[in-house]
Amino acid sequence: MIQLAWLIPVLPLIGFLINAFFGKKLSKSVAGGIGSLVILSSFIIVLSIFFSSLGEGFKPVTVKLFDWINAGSLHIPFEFLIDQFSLMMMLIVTGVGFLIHLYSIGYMHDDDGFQRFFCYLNLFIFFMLLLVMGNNYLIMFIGWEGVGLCSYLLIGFWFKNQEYNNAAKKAFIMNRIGDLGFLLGLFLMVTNFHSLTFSDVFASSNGFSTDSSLMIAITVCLFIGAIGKSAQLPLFTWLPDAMAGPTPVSALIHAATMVTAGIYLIARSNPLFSSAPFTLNIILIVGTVTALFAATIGLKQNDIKKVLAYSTVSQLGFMFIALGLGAYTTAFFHVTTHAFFKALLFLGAGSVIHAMGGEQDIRYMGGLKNKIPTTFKTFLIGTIAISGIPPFAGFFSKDEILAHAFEKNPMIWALGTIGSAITAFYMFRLLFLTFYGEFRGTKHQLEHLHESPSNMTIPLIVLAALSIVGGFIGLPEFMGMGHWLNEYLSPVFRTEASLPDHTTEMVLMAIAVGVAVTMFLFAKNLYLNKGVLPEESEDDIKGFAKVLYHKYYIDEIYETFIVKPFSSLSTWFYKFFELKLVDATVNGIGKLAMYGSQTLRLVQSGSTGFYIFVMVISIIVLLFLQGF
Amino acid sequence: MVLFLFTVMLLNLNSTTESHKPIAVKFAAVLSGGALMLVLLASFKTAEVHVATGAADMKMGLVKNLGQVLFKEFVLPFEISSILFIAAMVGAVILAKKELN
Amino acid sequence: MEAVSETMRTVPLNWYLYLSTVLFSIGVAGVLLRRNAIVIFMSIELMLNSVNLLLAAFSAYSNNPTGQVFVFFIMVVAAAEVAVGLAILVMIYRNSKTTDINSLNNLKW
Repeated sequence: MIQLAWLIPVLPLIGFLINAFFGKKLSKSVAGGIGSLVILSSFIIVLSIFFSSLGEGFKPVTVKLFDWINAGSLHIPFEFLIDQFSLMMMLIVTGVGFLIHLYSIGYMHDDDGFQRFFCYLNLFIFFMLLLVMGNNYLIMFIGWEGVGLCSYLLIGFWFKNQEYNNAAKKAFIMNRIGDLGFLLGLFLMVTNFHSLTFSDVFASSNGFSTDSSLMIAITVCLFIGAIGKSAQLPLFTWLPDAMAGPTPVSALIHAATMVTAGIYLIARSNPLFSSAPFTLNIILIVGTVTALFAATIGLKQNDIKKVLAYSTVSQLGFMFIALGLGAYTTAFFHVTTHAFFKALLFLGAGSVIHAMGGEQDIRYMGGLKNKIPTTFKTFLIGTIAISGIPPFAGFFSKDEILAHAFEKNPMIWALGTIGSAITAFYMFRLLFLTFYGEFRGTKHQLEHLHESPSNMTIPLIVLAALSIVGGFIGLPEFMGMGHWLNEYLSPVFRTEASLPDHTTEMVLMAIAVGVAVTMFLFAKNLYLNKGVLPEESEDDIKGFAKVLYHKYYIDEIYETFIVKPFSSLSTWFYKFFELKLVDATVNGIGKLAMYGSQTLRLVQSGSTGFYIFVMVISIIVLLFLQGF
Repeated sequence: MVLFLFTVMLLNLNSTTESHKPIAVKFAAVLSGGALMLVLLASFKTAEVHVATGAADMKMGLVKNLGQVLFKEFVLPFEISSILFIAAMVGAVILAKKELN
Repeated sequence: MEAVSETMRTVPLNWYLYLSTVLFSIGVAGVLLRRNAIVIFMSIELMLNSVNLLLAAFSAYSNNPTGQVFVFFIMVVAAAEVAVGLAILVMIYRNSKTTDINSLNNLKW
């Protein structure tokens, strides 16, 4: 089956091409069917390779497609790396991707751009697979850029709305700022290691001491790339705005796959990062601050998708905390569980929006739990999972991160626990305001409330099941069953952060659960029993809550200090250089040619006398010159 | 050339109706003609004429000798120039023919 | 007609050169100055004849008959040219009733 590994990214590419060229001629169900089928086929191939990897003696395989770049001493072949880590990522991408494709058939059913949607989705899966399957940094970069492009295309999918286009541009530009860091890292690698293949780079990096500035430079540059892609401080404002895209897009790209590309990059480069503890500390700090920052903003948001978006940023912060501690497997564990429950939450939100006929503000929802029961049940499971309540998935991964954090520095553990407490609180706030209480919408919406069709609810159910059992791939040691994920990924990640001893760990677990349950009760008291509602108008919000509601005014700060100066600079350049210099020169040459020809035309006077005169003058001149 | 002058007489050119060129053009014409003469004279003055002068040959200038040279060495150009003459004659006649209405 | 070349040699060769040059430039000036087409033709004839004179002089001095033969051919060409040229002039006169060359400006911009 390994021989068919090249098919894994090629099948979505074929789906993209079919939908791109023939999409308009195909009916909606055929287009959606082709789009989903190719992903399913890729998933089946990945699954079979995965099962073969579970046996003994599985070695990572490189599948070379063709020699690509041969320039002097630089050789970059186009090859894939199939090892345990990339297999797990591929499973998530194709598996969750397939479920979301299925969901989109129902969600986008009434949209005119249906075929275009599947075209972009397939293209995205193709690039994401390139990203996780590449054996060298350049192929990863191709996938990196490609998913940024698809993110732009999909966020601005309903392109007739200028606001959405602005959000898409913002996402793309912020990604590009991060990509500059990635590129600089690549250039440093090429200059110093003369290769971009993973094995070569890691082997060359072994010789460097932990203080070497080269290692720190490379890793910081790569981390900047990860900041842009995975929406950490300060490049995170694109993610909430990216909710302008259709909900399946938010689920796929901004919850499960694209934003985890940054985590993948750093985890894949773990030998480099292990040689640069300084960068790991930076990652730790950035992750912690982001986790807390985004969680606090989520407390006061009223749009269902925005709450989930800030929650994504916050959870990504947690993953970066794990990376900063050197616990790469744990970070990836959280990636996996987060993919399950965050995709579930987003798809559930989409189902709610679909039922409410497009309403996204939770102030106008409520009491939906009996009207859309399947959505409610799955959303409830997702909320419990994200809050870290056992035995659902989020508990094990988040708890492992916090345990590693405690071992390194109890301060980080404390901040992380506060972060997860806030997470639990705002997630339950969301749940109660949306599904419980009185219905606060219009009568029209009440009449049209209906459960989503089965192609939307089945993915919800599957993801809910995964959210329940997904945690069991990484059970802690003291439970006796062995941490399967650790063992499976041990060939890939060599350094492991240390864990506290079993007793401490159990105490920490108990504290975490206690905190989560307390927050649940607190939220229940506030929003269910007392029936507190978010403020109707903006003016009613007072104090620090106002700052939270306005997202710490970060967007406004960026606008004033970065966007406006750039805009005025570019306008000045336009007025001065473009109009006065470049245009004047180009137009001037044209005018010169015209003027010159108009003048020269007068020589053709048509009078013979003049011609003879000119002839004589020429002869005189020639003779004169001949004499010299 | 004498015939030429006869034609000029017969055409009865009226010098009063003949218009002159503008004075600037006349000036420029005289100037350029004079310049040409000056350039040529100047170059000939400084040039050295290398002509191998032997004794004066008795046979030069006589028509008989000229004819001998013409028909022995230069017979091809001679014939071609005769063709040229015929072409010119025919052309002149055709061009100057009056249209008989 | 004996010793034609001896007679010709009494004048130094340089003077022939200067005379020919002067005649040539007078011809040029005539072409530029006059507006009547026939006078222009006469000036052209003058230029051609000046060259003839020079060629004959060189032929006499270098005992080479080639010069005189060349004069021969130049006269032929000049005659042909005058014939055709006057024919064209006759046509132009018929069309525009004037021999003024300034009236031939239909190719003007």
